[in-house]
Amino acid sequence: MNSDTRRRSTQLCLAIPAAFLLVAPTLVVVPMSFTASPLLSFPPTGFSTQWYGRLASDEAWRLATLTSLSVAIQATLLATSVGTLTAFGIARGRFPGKSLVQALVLSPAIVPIVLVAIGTFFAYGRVGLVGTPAGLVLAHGALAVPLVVVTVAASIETMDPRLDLAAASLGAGPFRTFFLVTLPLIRPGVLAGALLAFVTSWDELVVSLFLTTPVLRTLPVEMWTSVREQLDPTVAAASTMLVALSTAGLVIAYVIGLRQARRKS
Amino acid sequence: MSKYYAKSCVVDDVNLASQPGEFLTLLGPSGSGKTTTLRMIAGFLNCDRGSISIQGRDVTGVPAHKRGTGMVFQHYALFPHLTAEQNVAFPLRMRGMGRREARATARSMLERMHLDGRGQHLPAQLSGGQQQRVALARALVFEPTLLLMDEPLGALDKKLRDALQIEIVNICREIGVTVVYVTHDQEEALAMSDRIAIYKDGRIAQIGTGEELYERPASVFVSQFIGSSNVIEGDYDAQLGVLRSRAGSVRVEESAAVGTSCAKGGPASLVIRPERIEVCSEGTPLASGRSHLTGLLEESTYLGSVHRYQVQLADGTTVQARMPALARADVWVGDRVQVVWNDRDAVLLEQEQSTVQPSSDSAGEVTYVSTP
Repeated sequence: MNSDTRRRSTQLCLAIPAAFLLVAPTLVVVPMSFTASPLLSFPPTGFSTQWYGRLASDEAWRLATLTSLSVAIQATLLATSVGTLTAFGIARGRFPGKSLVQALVLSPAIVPIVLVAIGTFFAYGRVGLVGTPAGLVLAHGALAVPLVVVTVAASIETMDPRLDLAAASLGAGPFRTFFLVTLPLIRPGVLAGALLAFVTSWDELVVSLFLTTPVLRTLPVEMWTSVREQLDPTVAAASTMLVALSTAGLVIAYVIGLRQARRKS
Repeated sequence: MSKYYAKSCVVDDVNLASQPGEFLTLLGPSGSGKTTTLRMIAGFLNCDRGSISIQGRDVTGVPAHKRGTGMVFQHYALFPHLTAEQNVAFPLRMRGMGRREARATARSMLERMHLDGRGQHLPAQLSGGQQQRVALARALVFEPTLLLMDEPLGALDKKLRDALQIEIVNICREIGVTVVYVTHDQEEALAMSDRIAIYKDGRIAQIGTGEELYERPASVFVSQFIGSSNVIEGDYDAQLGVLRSRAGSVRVEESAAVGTSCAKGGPASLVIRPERIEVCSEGTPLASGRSHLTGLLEESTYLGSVHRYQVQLADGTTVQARMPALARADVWVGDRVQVVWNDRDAVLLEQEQSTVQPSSDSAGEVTYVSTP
């Protein structure tokens, strides 16, 4: 046995358990969602797709899914537009206290989420945003802004700033320059940021727990409640759907990245 | 004719006026403020003081996209997501021209630049020279009255650069556009320009035709920036017409000092071009109207068409001479030699401190004038 194969087998011995540790807990919900038993359990007994039917027909689950979708889409739009503009300020701007602004913008991604949740709960409580879709959109948007800023700023930094000057010298005002030149060039960064923003909102539980009410729940909150109160296998069906959606998101991001890399080469 | 003033921390008291159809070059070492001037004319930088006007129209406060000047950038700045044709059509579309007409106009402009059949290529698929031509086509297609070029040939190799220099001059002359061109390459400036403005530390050291700058430099800096020069420093006695240097006294013609601040006498520099200097062995008799200094021949190099000599004078000053290789003197390294020149080939100039730092906070002014 030469040293190369030995190294490879050592790597495998470490990698397989690591991959198992990372992925297995997520995949457990997939067989659980096909159980025939009315109680959430592992390993599952029998086979049935009834919980998917339940997910689609049950009013609470349906509402939660719709709420989550609507909140995620609005939060994505909010975070993407705010984050893109902020990224321009940070990547191109020169002003005193820029590093402070940068730290502030990125803070929602660093501060412990429970603190954000508690703060948001009391702040929004004062202005009547708790328990409203607008409150959820704002809170999720704020959490997603740093992710958009990071991805878009990276895109802006690879772009030649003289292209903006060239557009101006050719007669394009700031708006047309942005939509005809800048945006097409930073589109991959904006799309990646939007995707991350969507996933952030779609998965968000902690802040949502504080901002939701029994009549306004997001999907993760509905699942949390369901596991705590009923142990109903519908939650496994919902989880499986979430896993599928998130995986699809990752695959899309990967493909965008591949295309970007190919265009550069 | 209108006047415009601008001030920035790197550009100070600049006064420019260009004639219609003129090719004006801003030439200077890097950091001398020539690009800053260009960017102020383009509207990318604000004038802190003063104004800019183009064709009699004051554009000082006008944003870049409304100035109507064409610009070619150092690395072309073509839009990488648009084809060559779309790049050229861009300024036409911005001016409200219909898609079809813009495409047709762009295509004929590309043909004029010998880029037929390249219209559908993305910039990344074109060579450097082709990208340069697309950039020029894009800047000229909307018929600007003023074309600004910022070292457009800087990224190309020598051979291509020479070919494109002629091409650019020809097309600009054909179109009749006024050009303000920035470069740090003096050969390029001489080859292309009607007039050249030499920049130093954010100011214009001298402005004139290439010949004027070469034959009558206004300062030692200019004489060394355009071509190279030998400088002999000394004390000028206006009455005797003699410059006393530590390497010896030489005669100075009255006309050599005309118009300089040292015409009345005092510390001065005598500037002589290397190709106007002849080297011969010590003691060779001189014709009248010629002056000489003696020194030690340090170096003698055959360069094909010319022969280069380097002579150290008594005070340590080095003098370079370039003689046609055919007229090669019979002198060898280590010989005592004399350097000889015609009095009328020497120019007397003010002595110059080697470097003056640009004042970063002085409130100077820039003037740019383009006549209607």
